Amino acid sequence: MMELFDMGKYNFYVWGSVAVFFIAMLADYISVSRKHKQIKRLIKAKGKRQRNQSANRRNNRDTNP
Amino acid sequence: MNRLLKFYHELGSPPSFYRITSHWLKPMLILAIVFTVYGLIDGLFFAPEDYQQGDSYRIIFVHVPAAWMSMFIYAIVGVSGIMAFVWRMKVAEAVMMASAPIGAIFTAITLLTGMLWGKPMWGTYWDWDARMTSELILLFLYIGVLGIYSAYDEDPRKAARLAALVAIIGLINLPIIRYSVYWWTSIHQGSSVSLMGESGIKDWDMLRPLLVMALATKFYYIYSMLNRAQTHLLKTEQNKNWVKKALIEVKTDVQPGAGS
Repeated sequence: MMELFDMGKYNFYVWGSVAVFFIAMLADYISVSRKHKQIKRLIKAKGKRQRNQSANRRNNRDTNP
Repeated sequence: MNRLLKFYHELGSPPSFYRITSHWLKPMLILAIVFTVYGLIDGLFFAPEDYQQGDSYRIIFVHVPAAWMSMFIYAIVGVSGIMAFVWRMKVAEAVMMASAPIGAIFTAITLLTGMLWGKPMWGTYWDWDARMTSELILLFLYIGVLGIYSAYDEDPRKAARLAALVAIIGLINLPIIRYSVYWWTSIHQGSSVSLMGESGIKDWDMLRPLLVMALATKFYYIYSMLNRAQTHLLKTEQNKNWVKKALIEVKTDVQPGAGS
């Protein structure tokens, strides 16, 4: 099994390249999904705030006419 | 043709772009992972050794797909830049700005893995050779597009137009990269795969993992680009009704009966 992973004197270069590829893809994946979640959370929070504000306004109008 | 045209117009409007592409994200990511796993196992363990370069040629399975993507994505950045500049399409702006980061990442992978391949084969990590220099300029072009967009943050639409201008001018670099190994004497080897079949890899066992990896990187690009484009549209259109409908009202409809 181990000789499959053995690239002789090129071990560092071949596995280094594969590592570069994986690290870059993983970094991109993490940053993409984090930014996507962040903006969704932001917009939802803003929507909630606006709904609460309009509900408060309605309540105030009902209690003191 | 008519249906294709209708689809194109549908994709041009942010709400339907968001709705349609939401269904594509997961399949694209799964395809990318499956193809990467298969392509790398096939390429690293089962493809035969090269008669000249030994095992070191296996770097090709990440280097060449990344290099293809770096140029392919720049072509998309340039074309959507033209669309954004001429027709002021919001989705084209989103696609352009969403493609640039992943393109820059693929360019960086190309340069780094190329250096790791150059050291054992040429005896040096870097040489100011035409292919390497033009690929480095490509990285700077990506950074330029991203930098100009984020530098002008008062008006994102104007910023996108400025970035599109840089992207369009940068298109001239693509044929330079492509033909650099033929126009100048270069230490970089010629094309690994050519459609006309006059040069490059002939062995199917070597070619197969390379083509599988090329598909895997394409699928990953589609995933990453669409995800970023959606984020871009949500951010720039956050005060529009469709965003509220897509994100907020769906959830509130579910809430009353959700306790069951």
